[in-house]
Amino acid sequence: MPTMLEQNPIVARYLSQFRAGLKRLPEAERSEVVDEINSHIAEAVAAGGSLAEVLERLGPADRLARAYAAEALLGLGQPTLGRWLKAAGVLAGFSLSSLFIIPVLGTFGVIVPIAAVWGVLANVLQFFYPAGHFGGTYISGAGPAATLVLGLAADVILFAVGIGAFRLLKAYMRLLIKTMRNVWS
Amino acid sequence: MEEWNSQLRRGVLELCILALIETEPRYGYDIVTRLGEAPQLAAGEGTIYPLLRRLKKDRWVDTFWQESAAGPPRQYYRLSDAGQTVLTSRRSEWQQLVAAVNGLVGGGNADHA
Repeated sequence: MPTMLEQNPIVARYLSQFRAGLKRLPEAERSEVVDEINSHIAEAVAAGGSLAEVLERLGPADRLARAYAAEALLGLGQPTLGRWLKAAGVLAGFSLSSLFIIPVLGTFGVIVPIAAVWGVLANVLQFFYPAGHFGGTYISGAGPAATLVLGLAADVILFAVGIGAFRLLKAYMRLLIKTMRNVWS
Repeated sequence: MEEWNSQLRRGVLELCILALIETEPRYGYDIVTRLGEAPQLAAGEGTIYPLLRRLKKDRWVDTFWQESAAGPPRQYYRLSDAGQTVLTSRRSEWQQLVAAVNGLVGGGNADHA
């Protein structure tokens, strides 16, 4: 009978509230914590306690979840010398590389795609109005049609390079944030 | 006073938990029941389980799950090598503290060496 206890609506509700309160824990850890409380309820009821009593002793589900969060913070917050040095090191390392990486990737990631889009426009205009000065691709000796095709191909490549740079920038920023977070956990 | 009391109780509670699992692994409910036998500790489930979690995070204890005949699987706690070191040093600190305090407070049969 105790095996089926988690199907009891009162227990199910308690556990789901508890789980919801643990939202800041990683999923694997959260499941384990919920499983342990589920196991506790089953043990205490099997030992002869009434379900109401057992749940009352555990306290409200959200308060229990907060107690876990508070304990996790206690373990995390100890600002040891090693941790400070590590954080400072990470910050220094990232600042130095960021000084170079962010402007370069930022330039490529933003300006290059815009230039590519403008290039497409310029090449098309140039094809239809050969007299205008649109800043489209110029290839010496090539006719208007060949210039258009080659120019558009170059624009596509340029655009791809720019988007790639933008993606790299995004990945770099994500890495930076994640590393700083890891130092403190 | 309230703050001091709760800090003291936490430290004592940690020591008791480590001592409880020194010779054999125990599961959560077992630990809760044994600590409940000392009502002076005022250690409810709502305190003990989160504390166990932190001991695990600090790697003072190792855990493993084991099926139970009666119900859902149980999570067992076992003292790690790091936990054993902590327990040994805290145990002697505690004994010295108790001896010193008894000497000062006058526990009746405080025995001075």
